[in-house]
Amino acid sequence: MDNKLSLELKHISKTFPGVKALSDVSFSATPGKVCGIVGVNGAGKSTLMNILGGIHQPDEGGEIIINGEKVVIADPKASTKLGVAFIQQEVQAFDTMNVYENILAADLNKWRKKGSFALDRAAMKKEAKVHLEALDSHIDVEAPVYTLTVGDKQIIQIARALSQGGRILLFDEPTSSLSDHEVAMLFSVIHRLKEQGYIIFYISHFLDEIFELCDNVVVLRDGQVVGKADISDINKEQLVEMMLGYQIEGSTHVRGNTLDDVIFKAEHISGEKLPRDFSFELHKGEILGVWGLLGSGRSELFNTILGIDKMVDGQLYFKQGGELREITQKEFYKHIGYLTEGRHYDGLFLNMSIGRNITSSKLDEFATKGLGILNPGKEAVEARKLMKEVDVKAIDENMKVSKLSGGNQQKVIIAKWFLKDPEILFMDEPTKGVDVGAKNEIKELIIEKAEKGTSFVVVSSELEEIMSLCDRIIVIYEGRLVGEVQKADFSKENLMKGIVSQEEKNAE
Amino acid sequence: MQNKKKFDVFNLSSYLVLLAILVIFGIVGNNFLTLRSVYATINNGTPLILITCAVTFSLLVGIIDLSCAAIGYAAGVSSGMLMHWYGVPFAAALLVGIVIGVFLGWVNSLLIVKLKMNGMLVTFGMMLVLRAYGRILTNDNTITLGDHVKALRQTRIAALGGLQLTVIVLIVFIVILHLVLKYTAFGRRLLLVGCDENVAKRIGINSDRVKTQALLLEGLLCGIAGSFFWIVVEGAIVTTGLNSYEFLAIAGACLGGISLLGGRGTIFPGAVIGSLILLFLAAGMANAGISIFVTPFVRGVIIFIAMYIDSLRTRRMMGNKLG
Amino acid sequence: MSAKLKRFASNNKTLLIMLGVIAVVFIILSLTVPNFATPRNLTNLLQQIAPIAVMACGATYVLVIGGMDISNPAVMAASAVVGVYYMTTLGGNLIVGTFVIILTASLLGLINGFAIAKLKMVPMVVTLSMMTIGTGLATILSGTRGLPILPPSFSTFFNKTTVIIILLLVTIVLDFILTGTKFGRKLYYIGNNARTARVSGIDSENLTMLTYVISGLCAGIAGVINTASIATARANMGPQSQILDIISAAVIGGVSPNGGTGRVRDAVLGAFLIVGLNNVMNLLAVSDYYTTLIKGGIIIGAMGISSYRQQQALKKGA
Repeated sequence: MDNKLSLELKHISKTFPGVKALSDVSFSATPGKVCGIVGVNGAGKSTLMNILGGIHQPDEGGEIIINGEKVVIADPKASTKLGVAFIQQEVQAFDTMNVYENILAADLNKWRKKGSFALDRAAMKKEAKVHLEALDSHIDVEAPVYTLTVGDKQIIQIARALSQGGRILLFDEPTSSLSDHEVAMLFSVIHRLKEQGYIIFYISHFLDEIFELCDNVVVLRDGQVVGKADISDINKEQLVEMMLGYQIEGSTHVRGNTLDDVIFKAEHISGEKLPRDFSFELHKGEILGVWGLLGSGRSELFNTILGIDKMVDGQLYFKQGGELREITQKEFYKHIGYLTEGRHYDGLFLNMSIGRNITSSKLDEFATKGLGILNPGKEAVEARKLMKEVDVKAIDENMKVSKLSGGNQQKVIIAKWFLKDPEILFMDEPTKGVDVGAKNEIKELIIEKAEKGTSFVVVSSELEEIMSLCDRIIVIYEGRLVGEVQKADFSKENLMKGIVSQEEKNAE
Repeated sequence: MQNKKKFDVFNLSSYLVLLAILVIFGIVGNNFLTLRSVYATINNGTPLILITCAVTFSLLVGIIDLSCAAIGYAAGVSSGMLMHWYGVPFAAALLVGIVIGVFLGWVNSLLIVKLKMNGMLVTFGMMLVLRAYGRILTNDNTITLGDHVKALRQTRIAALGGLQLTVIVLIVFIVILHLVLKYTAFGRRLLLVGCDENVAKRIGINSDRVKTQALLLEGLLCGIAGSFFWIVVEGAIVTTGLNSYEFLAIAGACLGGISLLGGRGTIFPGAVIGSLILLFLAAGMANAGISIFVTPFVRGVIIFIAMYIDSLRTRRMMGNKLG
Repeated sequence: MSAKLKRFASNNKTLLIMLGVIAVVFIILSLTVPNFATPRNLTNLLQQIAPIAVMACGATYVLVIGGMDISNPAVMAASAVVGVYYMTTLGGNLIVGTFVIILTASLLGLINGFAIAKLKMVPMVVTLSMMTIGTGLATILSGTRGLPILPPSFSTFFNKTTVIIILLLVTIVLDFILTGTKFGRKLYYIGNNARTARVSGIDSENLTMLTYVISGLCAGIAGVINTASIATARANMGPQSQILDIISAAVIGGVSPNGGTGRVRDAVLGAFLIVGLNNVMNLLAVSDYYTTLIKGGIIIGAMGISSYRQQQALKKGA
């Protein structure tokens, strides 16, 4: 590795219409060091990565200096040429192809035999082996990729990055779908790369990983660099505070009613991967927060309880007729609502009207018993009523959902579930991708509804939000229940306690 | 590596089906397994085998092209009529046919890749247009071209027990196509794009170009299948020529383990064995005196079962991904 | 009032355009083509349209959930042959025979639906093999000499008037079920976003299966109509290329091949245009080949419009 390798960012800003995603970001990286980049969702990490990847261009005035030269990264190709390579969270692999084909897929023309069209497969395999060996991996280069574990696929991704001449490696949440053992393997690979003098960036929500792996850390918040430090100079609490930028305060939401009436109980829930042996209770009218780091199995917990993913083990109990009775997932689903994380993926019928989206949760209400004939008039009245209740800003109920803003779309989903008025509402990141104003409105809607007796289970990555919204928070880590904090004791320290102690246990 | 072994069993299954058909009809049939009859079956099947190979290339990138046989038909009719009307020499007529095949492949790519239209329905429409074109050109008559291609049709290689020249030519094509798919960067890119277009795009493969190339190659091969193999084997242009070969070709490809979702498949054994299964099934049933009416029914059932097995196989691979 | 009218116009844009086009074409043809606007030709025309239109109704259901059924004409022929075989060779009752046709078609549809919804096979592939199986079944049963002619009472009962009434009934009922009932609405939900439908608690597996049964059922009704008009059944009464007429009727009627939009009513009007085109070509003595050529062009054009519409919608959505 030559000594010239260097990367420096100077005064990088990025303005999107209406949003300043990055402002005046400057830092530099040293070969042979792992630099952690941390920040809450929306802090600007992905914009920064997209600029380095050539997907976005920085605003005028910013400079990117690679190996001492000022460069313009016009497109992803230019980025690759400069030796920048990404290792993504979702593994990018061709499942039915062989390992060596996966590693060398990007530039096949290079592997033609001289004077013929044929690929030099022996040379390809040899080259793939070289890259894998550099990573201390013994994956069979001829194995089809679908036979490999996610961890091995991740290694293949790294090998691909190296084969493309990657010198500046950006790892973006690479461990979120790996098992502990695979994470350890990946870390040893990264250590190896570090020793070989690559520039390595490591983005992760797992603070533990940052402390284990990184030499220094850059903290982003609201598009600005709010802190740079050697990892040995700070502790976890300081880091969290830098990321959040405030002392976490008590909540504004005070509940009068006592919550002794258990309406739902989950016992020993295990999915195929996550969650693991997870148990909790939910009271009537309670807003229960589920807090954990990204990849801790929050969404998986919901999907497993609700029968979207396979439940390997566990029982559900639901209060019917005054007592808790065991209930199947299918039966349980009739009593609940589920606001998923992916609004466009599985939350909305994008090309349909607001009204039809809202009424989809409870069509029975608008149809005659026998033949199921719909009553559009009643549907419209009810849809309008709900639009008013949750304050969807739109011309009328016939407007297509795709024409609404993110916040209003989210409100349509909430209206849809409020119409069904289930006893329990599961919400996965209810304010994701929604502006600040709508965020507060949504929070108020949830609290109001809970006052009327609906129970909520809410997942959120935002500490502040979950602490101001919930009556009680359970903490999930690696798919397990590691803590429970009552309203009176809400604080970041108490929430982190479970995670920290679990990590310490793991470290032993 | 357990999985790898299972995969091999699946790959072997097409050989086993072919073997079973040969054995069953060899026993039931009447002189079914003589060299002469086997050669005749393969010779008559040369257009289908090449069209199956052609359609494999579009299937690999995830496009179901229903116009493949019609492209061959249009190309064959064009070159046949050139010979019939103007006495154009076969070589020149063949060239025109091939150019027409490539052109039609290009039109398909324009509609499907550039204009992003629903590939299956567009090629279905294309099939109708091309069929009509052929019938207009021949005025729905059978045109005998015996003299023009007689020499080629009657050439047999004595050393190989009288194997027809057309079969030799086909084998050359198969070898070339197999090598192209398996050993060139082009072939590898087809598989990559078919396997996961989004990943391919993200690592910098121009997937639109790859899909266009696949359709062009397919058009080329269909053109050759029509204007060479079909004309030489039949020695005539028949209105119903290559009829429903698009279904046979796609079905044969499936039997040979080529995924309809793209990204998985081979020319040999895949397309070749798959089409041979259908050919020998039809020939065997005819030989055994089973009514020709029963053949399509049996064929349908076999395709259905093959598809089911294929969906199981796909699910097993995907299961790995999801889990 | 005018606001209401406007709303009606914007909700039924396809209907109005289709009616307009049909009216204009009709007027032009009545004035220019001899023998077009005669009662005889027009009722004949309706009789020709009916089977395609009925199958287009079924196709609309399948397309709305984002599926595909190309086995329709083959299923139609197979069920008709089974029914006629029962009525003639087996000497069965004509009324029972009618139901045999419809039930056979529904059963074949159920097999399609089962393979697609439960075995998770690709719709195109399943219905492709069903097409071969259906054609095969029909060919086997009708044999070399074809099936005998039915007693005239069958065709007398299913005369032009009955056929037109059947077409009207099927259109109205299926259109209403799709747009006016819970079941139909759920199909739109599935076609629009199957994942959201699942999260919203809609049981898409069984509904998908039922949709293919409806498609089969329509093929059966079309089988009865066709059987009555030729007084017997033949394997080639549902040529494979007829599926193109059916799908293009639906697509021209604004049914998206990608699922989620379209109405039975408009697809039937699409069938009027497509089959009407055939009829006019016949009257003008245009050869069959050119008719096919033009039809192929029309479906490619219809697909082009459909893909343009979709891209426009995407642009707006973003």
